[in-house]
Amino acid sequence: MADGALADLKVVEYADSISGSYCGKLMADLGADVIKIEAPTSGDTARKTGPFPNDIPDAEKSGLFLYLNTNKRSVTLDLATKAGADIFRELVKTADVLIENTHPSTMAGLGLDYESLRKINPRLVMTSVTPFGQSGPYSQWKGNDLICTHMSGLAFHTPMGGVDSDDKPPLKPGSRQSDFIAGSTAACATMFAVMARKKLDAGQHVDVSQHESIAAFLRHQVAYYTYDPEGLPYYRQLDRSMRVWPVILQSLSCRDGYVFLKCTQQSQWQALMGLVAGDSWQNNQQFKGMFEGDFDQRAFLSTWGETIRPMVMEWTMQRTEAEASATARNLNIPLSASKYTGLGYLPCKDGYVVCGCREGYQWQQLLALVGYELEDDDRFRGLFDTGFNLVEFLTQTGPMLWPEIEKWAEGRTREEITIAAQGRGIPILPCNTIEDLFESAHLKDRRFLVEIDHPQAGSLFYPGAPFHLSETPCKVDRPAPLLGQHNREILGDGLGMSEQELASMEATGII
Amino acid sequence: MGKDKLPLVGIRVCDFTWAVVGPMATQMFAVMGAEVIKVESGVHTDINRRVAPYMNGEEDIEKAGSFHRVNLSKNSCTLDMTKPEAVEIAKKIIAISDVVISNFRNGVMDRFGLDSDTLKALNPDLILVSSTSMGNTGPLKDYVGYNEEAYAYGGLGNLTGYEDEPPSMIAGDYADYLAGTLETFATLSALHYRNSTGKGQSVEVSMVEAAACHIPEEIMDYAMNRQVRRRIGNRMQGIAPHNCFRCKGEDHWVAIAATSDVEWHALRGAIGSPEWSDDERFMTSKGRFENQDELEEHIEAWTRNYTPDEVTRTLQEVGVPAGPSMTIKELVEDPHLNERGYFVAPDHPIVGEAILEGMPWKSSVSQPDIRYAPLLGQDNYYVLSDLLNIPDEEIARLMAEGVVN
Repeated sequence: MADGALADLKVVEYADSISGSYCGKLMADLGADVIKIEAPTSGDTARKTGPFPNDIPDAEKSGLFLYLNTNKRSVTLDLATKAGADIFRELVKTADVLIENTHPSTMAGLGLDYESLRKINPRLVMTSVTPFGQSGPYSQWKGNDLICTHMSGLAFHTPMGGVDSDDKPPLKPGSRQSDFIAGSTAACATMFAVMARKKLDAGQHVDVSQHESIAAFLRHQVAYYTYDPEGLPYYRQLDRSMRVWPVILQSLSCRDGYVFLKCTQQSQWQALMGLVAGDSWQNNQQFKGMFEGDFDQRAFLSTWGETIRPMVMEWTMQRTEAEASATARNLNIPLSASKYTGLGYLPCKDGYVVCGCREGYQWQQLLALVGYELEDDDRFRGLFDTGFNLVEFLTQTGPMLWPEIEKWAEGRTREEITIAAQGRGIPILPCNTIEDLFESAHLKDRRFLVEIDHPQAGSLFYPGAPFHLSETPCKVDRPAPLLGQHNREILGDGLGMSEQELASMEATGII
Repeated sequence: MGKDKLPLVGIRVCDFTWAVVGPMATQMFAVMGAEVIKVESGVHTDINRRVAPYMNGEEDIEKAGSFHRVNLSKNSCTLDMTKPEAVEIAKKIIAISDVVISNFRNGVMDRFGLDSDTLKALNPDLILVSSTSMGNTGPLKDYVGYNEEAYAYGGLGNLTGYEDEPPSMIAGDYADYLAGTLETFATLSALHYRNSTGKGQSVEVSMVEAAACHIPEEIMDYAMNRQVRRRIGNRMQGIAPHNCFRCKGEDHWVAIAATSDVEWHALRGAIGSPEWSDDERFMTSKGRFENQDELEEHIEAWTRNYTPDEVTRTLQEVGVPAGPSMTIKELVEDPHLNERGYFVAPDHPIVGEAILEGMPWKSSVSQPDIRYAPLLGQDNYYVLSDLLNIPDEEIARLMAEGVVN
């Protein structure tokens, strides 16, 4: 086996918790020699957060720490002492990369900021990962995954597809996503700087903001706002998904919850008017000129939206979800109790599957699977002929179809649905629990989970590599280090410190 | 700012990617100096040229912000890969490239006649990169899936949502960006290795596995304790308060996370140390976590009187992590991001200086080179003539016959 892709790199990591440590792990698992500097006695806070076997806290058995620190060596060092800082400088002097994720004022306070360190090692790449970056008005603020994700816009737009009640706050994704995203972003930025060093014969300082790292996943929504702000619905009660469905008047309170209206065509709006304003609405002066000229929904809604909304609300408020959607269905008005709009989770017998049909042929297959006779059904005439338009299709038919699809899924298991769907090229997959990940034959076949033996935590299955390099695969030669496990190896053998020096530093708490 | 300070100057990428995951990676290569040649069909274009938003709502493949967001600084060359001659041209591009990257379903590159053995024969030290939903091997390798299928199968979907409710869809193309970032790092590592050894290799990314690597706390809890963690909304295991609270006004929210005793006492003080906060149950982190429903009610009773900005400033001043739950408008107008120069506005020949997101890091020397996303086929002549030395008459014929479309 060849050496790792990054086997020639020496990395010093002064990182706590996830972001900087994940960056270091990505490099260590590809062979970089990563020396992790931890505070004496307490160590990395990831050692305290768990999960722990049997929920019993133990600094050497934290699942998060074990995962994030494979292949690294640990040295304990109190950087606030002169001796500690001196040793740190010695280690950095011969390093290619320094990764740190302290508050922007911390390293300067220790005299270990980039400007100071470059003097002893001009080729050093120093990567600093912080919640808001090294500069700008929020740089001194405190942040973490929750704060960065909410400040990025990602939470405001989750759940995609909108909320069904005003009481639900914006939502962050599960686990601590932005910490990991900041780590992987930092790993990319670090490698760019390492590769630039060959050209420049000099290192540089890389400033990674966790907030920007996660905001960078909102590229589509940002483009919506800057290209076509009217197309971007930013009231959360409306459909907040981005692909998608330029519809106003979308979520409406009814007697027992919410119904969702997705009219896009003149005929649908006219039918709706008949429903909420009575049969003779066309003779009403109030609505004069409502459908004159070519129908342009955007112009129509900007003129009439405010007039129509309270009328529709008054109608829906007096009805239950079931009553409202049954009446609407008879009139071919796309209104439904289901908020699903095409992409989304389908409840089924043993959990959920997720359905992501985007193409016409996928919808044709799905509808056929569910039992529609597409050939004989007028509602589908012409929809799949040429130039399938997902938005048009869903807005016209989605609210009517989705309840049928849900009914079909209800009595089936995730596996039945997935096999039937994938057999027809329909993008449906099960929504896996953590247990399912361990049971997945596919992931087993790919050896995604890898067994790692740790002297104290024992042998456990960990998430394996996020990518495969054919010649230089990720591999774990060493489990995560015990706190200060490599003090003697690195400081004694590496820096030539004597056993007496090491013992005295231990006694004074420097290491 | 000279391009000579960029790490990938001199690296050529033959880019067959489309949609989001692959383009996310090749955009990073392009802005960091690589010459990225995006090979697309002139007829069946990259899907994002046909996805809203369009500038001012005008549907046009050259006005799609959806395309521009992940294709900055690339070159576009249009080839009809169903024609054998187009495949031959692609092979010529590959022969002079360092990286070939695609995110088609398994088998599509093979059908073009561009299987990995052929490519390695053309160019032995090539770095061959591919990303798919499920990976290139395994019993489900041919299953179709996109972003939401990938994060759902990878376990992240089931962990995202309100407590005791069905799972929630994550905003945008989350798994694409996530996997695209890791793919970028993996490719850079392969390039780094090639720099010192001369050896190429293949890089394979499964979006499912990339997503699963970002939920290790949950996976390790199962590995250790057979504990299956569930959705917990905005909350965090063992920490409270840690949630998003309603503020003054309509649909305004603030996120607050007091993660230690010190932060909790600072939060209490900022609220004015009300009587309820003296409750013994709130004095320990365990007590706060176990009684968080009640704790959150008290906090929200306070946040409701202020704007997200007021709450944020009050709490940040005393060292408590807090921040507004921003809309996209607020994000784009955010003074902090603007002062850091986060947004970019390359001068696109058709849509002009439209604002897009830049790169989420700052380098003291190597500043990203941001150029507008290419018009369809704008670099055909450069690729065919300058790079491949195809004579003008021949280029004219290829265009007339629709090989270059």
